[in-house]
Amino acid sequence: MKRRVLTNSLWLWSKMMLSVLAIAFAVFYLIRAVPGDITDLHAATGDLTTSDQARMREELGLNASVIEQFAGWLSQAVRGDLGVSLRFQTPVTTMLLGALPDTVMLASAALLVGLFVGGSIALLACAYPQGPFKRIVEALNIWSIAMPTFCIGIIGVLTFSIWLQWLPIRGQLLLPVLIIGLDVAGQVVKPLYEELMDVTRRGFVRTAQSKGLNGWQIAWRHLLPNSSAVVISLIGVIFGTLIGGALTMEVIFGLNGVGGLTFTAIQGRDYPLVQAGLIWMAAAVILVNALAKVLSVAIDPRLRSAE
Amino acid sequence: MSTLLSVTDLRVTTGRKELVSGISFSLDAGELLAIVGESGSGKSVSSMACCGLLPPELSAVGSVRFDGQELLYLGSAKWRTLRRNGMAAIFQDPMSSLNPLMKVSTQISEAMDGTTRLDASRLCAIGALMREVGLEPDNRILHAYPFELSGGQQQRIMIAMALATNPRLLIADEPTTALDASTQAQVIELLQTLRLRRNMAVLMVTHDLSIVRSTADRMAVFHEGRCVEQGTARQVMSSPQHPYTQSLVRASLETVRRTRSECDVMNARGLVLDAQNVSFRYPEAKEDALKDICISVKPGECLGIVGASGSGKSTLAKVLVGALPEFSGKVDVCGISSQSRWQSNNINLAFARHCQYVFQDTTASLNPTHTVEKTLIDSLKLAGHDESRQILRNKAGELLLEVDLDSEMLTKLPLQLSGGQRQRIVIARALAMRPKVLVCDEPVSALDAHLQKQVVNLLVDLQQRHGMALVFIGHDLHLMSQFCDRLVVMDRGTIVESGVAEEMFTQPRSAALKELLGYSTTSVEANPGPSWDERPSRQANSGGPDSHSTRTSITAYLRSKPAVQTEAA
Repeated sequence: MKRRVLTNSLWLWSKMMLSVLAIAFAVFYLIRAVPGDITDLHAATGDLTTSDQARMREELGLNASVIEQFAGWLSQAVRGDLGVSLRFQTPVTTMLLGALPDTVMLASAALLVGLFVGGSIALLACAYPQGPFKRIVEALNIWSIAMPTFCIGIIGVLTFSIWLQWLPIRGQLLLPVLIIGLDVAGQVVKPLYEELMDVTRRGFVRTAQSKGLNGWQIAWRHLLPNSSAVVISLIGVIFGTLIGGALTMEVIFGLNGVGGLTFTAIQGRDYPLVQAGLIWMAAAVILVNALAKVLSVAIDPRLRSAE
Repeated sequence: MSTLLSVTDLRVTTGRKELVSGISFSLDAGELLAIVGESGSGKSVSSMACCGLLPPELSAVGSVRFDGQELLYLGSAKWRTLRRNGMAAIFQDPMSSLNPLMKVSTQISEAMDGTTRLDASRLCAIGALMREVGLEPDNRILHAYPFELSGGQQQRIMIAMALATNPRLLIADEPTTALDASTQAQVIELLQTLRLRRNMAVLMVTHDLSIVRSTADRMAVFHEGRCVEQGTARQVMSSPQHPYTQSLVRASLETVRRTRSECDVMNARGLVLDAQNVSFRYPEAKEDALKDICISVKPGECLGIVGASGSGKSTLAKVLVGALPEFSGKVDVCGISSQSRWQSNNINLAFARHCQYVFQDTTASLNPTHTVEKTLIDSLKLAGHDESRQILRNKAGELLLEVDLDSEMLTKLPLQLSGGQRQRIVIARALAMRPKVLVCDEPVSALDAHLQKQVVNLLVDLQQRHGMALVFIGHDLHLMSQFCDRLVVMDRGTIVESGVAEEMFTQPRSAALKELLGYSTTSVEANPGPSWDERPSRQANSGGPDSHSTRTSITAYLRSKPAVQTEAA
């Protein structure tokens, strides 16, 4: 048993590493395929002569083939060195680590808000089919589809920071957490509601009723665990994307997060920083999905025996 | 005796349609009342109304009094109190009635006082309950999840949960319908023992008259939402008054029509299906699901495969039709190997035209978004018909007529049909191919007794009309022996016995067959078995040893089926 778990996790781990490696190469290749590197940028502003530009390319190693560059980068990367930012002359790892706290904080807080709001409304709609909650489920769902977060973000800044002046314009987490949280709630609430309604009709819920359990006991022990699978896989995707950086929110609210960092790096053709940012995003999605898988196996004993 | 439950003028409606129209019955303490009727007669709905578990879209009016207390308008808090002491329920399908993500012992603990604690004293109490329902509470079972248990064990867990609150009334809604024959007998015996020991009243909903006969004190017959007859079980069964009850009792005695002579099969040449040394193991399983199976079927022959659940008979069906191609050995259907059917579309189509498959679960085997017409026409097109839409529609209508359905059904969606109708559609879809072999995997197990006979009659008729070979997989030995030319008995992946049905009944050799015949495993030696005479047989006049019907044991309730016939005749 233990050995099987070990081999399974090893297998999962190697699959994850392979995916990250493949994505790293794709990123590496694609940003170099786009015309214009950092030397072109400097040349365009008149800072560099043509010969200076050629020398700079040579120094930065941009003349070598993509494969050679990748091999060089990879040998550094496995030692934990992702290179130095071409623009800021700071190690990329340091910059990325500096940007992580804001991003992780925003993502986890928004996820908690989203799960709490979405989960409660789905449960209420399921418990009181006659009440208004079913409409709220629909409204919230359509809200998250129809209203882009950056749009609500701008309206939020206008309302709370400029007109009412309750919150600072930049550097606060309250509004972005609420806005992304509401968006997550909208994405989660409908599948969860439908799953809950489906599970309510299953036999064991009737059994739970016939034992004389109260509503909370039924919801907590029987309904939610059995509807969690669909939410867990959904959250794997949502949280993965969030932790890769909520670009628009970070820009609007002036947060120092991974999304904003990558965005400026792309604008400045700062290859090492772009690579690091994008690879982190990909790795985050893969990692969170793997965690989601582990979590669903922990919840469902049938998956344990099938593995 | 005092009246424990009294139901007066109970009506249940969906808002538009009345499902139960004015039913009254009562139940004394310690008594077993059986409610009998076909599906849609309102029997399950009435029993659920009695324990307050109606689905929210149904509403009940009238009066249901338990111990003098009116239940229909009871608040949810009072219901919870009542369920904690007084009333418990068990349901048809034990697998879906248990939470798949929770250990069974935790679920029993919940039934005791609503908590999920599992300390030593609690485990001890749970063990005592398990022992009472015939489970040995070792570590494996105490820490098992429902999916690790067999259907019979699951239903025992359900019963243990029901007993946890020491109820005076147990409502059992078709408690054995989803179980195989040998387990059915054990569970019925357990219920009977428990109710006598605990003086517990039981309201048993069932469609199986043999269960009623062996256990019930009184019975009520439901038909189209009304109670058409009530009385002591003996009295109703021996002299039914209402025409519906009469037809029900008659149907339970009727045997399946069969006209074809044996020689047709004996004289047929060649084999339409030939399986040699078939072994199969599911990926990552420890043991082979099939071990070295050899069977063959002649043109027009009907081969029955019986076995308890888990014996590998469904796996064998899937191997025969090529749904599980990774087996070792050889399966030929009309000259095409079932392994090779997936090599190309042409081979697959040729195979499908020779061999068709009918499943147990009628809902899952029809596309819910396709009308009957589309289902049948698609199949006709695959069979090579390329006529115009109108002609195909007519042909689809003819197919429906063949399975005794109206051509008006063409526009219906599967959800609008009953289980029996759906199974007929599935059979019609298979017939569109004009197959030489029809493999049926428990085609009637999900239907109630009335429908079972009709669908089996239909299959046998069609088989004879089209000269198809039929491979019929099931667990109801009595039913199958009435129309199968040969039977093979499977147990744990091997064929333990095979031959003609007659011999199997008189001289069962394997333990698996004896169990299927309804013997209690402990009293095999004591009971030499039911005689051939007792069986509802197409050859009832063929000789056999005299009857030594011992109906004292409830375990042998299966054998009371033929006894009914003797009495009525």
